[in-house]
Amino acid sequence: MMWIDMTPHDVVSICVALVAFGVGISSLEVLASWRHYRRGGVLDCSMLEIDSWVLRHFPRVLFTAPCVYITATLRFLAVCPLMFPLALSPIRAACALLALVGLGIQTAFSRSGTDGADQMAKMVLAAGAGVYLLPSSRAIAEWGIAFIVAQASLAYLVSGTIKFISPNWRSGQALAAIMCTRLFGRARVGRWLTTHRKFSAAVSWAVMIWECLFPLVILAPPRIMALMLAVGVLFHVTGAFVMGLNTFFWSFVGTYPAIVFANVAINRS
Amino acid sequence: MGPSTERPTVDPRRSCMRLEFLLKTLLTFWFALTILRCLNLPRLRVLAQFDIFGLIPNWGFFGHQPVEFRVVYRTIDRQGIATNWAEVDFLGTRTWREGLWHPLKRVEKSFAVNPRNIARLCLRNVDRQVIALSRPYLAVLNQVRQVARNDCRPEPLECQFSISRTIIVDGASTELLVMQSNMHDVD
Repeated sequence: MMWIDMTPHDVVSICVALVAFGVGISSLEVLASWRHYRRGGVLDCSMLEIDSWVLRHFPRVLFTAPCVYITATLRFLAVCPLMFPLALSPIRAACALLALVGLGIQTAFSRSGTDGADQMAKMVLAAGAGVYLLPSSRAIAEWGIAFIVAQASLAYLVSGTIKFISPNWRSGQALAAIMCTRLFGRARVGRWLTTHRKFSAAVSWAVMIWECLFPLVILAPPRIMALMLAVGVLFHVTGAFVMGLNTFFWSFVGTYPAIVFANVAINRS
Repeated sequence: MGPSTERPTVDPRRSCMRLEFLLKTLLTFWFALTILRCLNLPRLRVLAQFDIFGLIPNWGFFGHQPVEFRVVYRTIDRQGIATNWAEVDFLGTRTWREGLWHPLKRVEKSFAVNPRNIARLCLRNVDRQVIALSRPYLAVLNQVRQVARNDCRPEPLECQFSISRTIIVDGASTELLVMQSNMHDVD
């Protein structure tokens, strides 16, 4: 019953720490792929002004590779104190805000290269910043947890519903096709799923049902909740190692402590 | 009687309550915007246009039938001799290590997204000149130029690329030509 002893602030701190770890990895990955942001590179950000009239109003100096490196470095430095929640709340609030702004700038810089992991990380960091701003308020901490839970539930529900609407997903064909792509798949897994259509359909249905039912996890009995979250961890570990979506794991599993807290609070009341 | 020198006192509890109310409203509003974005209503697509920092998430992942794009290129040397078409192979073999550390993730995704965005422009019958000045086109051109410069073929002067769409059904792939670029200087 460890969760009962925890305050909502502690739970938000755990969520933020897990997400911060993912943001830290993602920031270092940007620095490791630095040459692609240079002029003439694939992610050359000087081209961003072309198709966004909003960005055209920003100073040109922002759309340079050094700015990308500085932002990534600042983002990494900002998430370090969040990974080990020892710092004081105002410092953590500033760090969470800085990381959030850094992720936003990163999104603006590489508009074609963002992913859902960044989006969920922004949600958790925003909630964390709000909670750290008012460390004495239990109400805002609970509101922050509710925000994280709501965003995670909506993410899985929307994702599951979109798959459910698609006949290709219902037949298992879409999953096999994704695994056949070079970007998200593995040729061997793709070929195997293509020849084992029933298995592909069963996995697709399992994913769709799990995603669509995810919002109910906060109302579920503890054992069902534990099972649902264990499936979630397995789902994201598979996504990381098979599809290369490594930061999805940290961003989405980072919301699970908030879900456990909400479940325990609801079941207790 | 001069003006009072006493500072007006600020009740910290009251300002905390105000901040609390503000934060709660902000988070609620944020979630409401997320729901609107996920509904993907045509009237609300303007939300995405203004959201350059990606603060309003759209949670629809992997909902559509996957489509892959292939970019092939050729170069012309100083004698005017064109090489054969060769694929711009940006994705190496996926390794298990990428489950922990995947530095080229954004680069790889942009390789997939830019040809898709060009294909969308072509489908909408956008003028070729406009497409040639669009960001996705210039990004693909950058990528082709990089590959052409590092190519072992002698002295490339100009390059040209072609994008084709691959639809994967039952493990079999079908290719359709999306567009072929004009010739461009390699440097």
